[in-house]
Amino acid sequence: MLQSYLKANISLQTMSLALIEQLLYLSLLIGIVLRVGHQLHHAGVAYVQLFWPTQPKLAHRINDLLLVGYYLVNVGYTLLLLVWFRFEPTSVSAMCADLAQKVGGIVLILGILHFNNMIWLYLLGRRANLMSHHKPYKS
Amino acid sequence: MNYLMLAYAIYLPIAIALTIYVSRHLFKNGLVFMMDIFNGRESIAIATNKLFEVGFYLLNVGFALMILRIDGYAGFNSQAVVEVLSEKIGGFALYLGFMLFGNLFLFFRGKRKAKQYRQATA
Repeated sequence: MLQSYLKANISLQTMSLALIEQLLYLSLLIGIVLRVGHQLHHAGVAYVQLFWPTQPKLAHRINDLLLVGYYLVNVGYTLLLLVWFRFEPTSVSAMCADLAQKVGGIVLILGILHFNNMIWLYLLGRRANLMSHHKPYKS
Repeated sequence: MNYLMLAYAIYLPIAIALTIYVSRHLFKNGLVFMMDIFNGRESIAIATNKLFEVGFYLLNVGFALMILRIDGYAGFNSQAVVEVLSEKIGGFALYLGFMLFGNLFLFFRGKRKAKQYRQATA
């Protein structure tokens, strides 16, 4: 990465601002992923019981597996995007705007994936007649 | 005086404060709807409410951050700061209003479905 910066002939100030931006990006996003994961895991303890009412231990294990999967996927693409994004801030205000855009985009993706999961769990649960507050699904 | 940084420093706390305000009120009062939809099963109602709340925060904070960028120009003075901030904060508040009413619509719809189901099986 150092070679790419030197080849692109970027000034020393840009390079150090880019470093600060990368560190801020990483710490903010990993912090958000961990905290949100903890909150979802805690709420999920009761939520997964809805889908396997007769097997509470299985439901609990599935909640734990979902947490691990969540960490893998989210930390994974956060780190990948760190490499694929170009961090070239020219000033401190440009760094703030750039950081906000990148962090905001990934937080938005997190939210969209979250609602996607919830919708799929709901639809698949309905199909399997696991949601007791709906009419039985007629296939 | 760097007016861009000033604008960012004003916009971000206001946007986050608005998000927290709307979210707390929506999901504090939304628990009643959840209890109704899940027929009084308290733990599931609280868990689902929390899940929706986390998702709501993620979407709104993500959106607030994505629209933060201000492209400054040569004559960017304090008047421009006020205008750009009004545009951004106003637009974000409108968006939050739409999200709030959308969620309310979903809550009422779920309540109606739950009532239909209860009447059908009573």
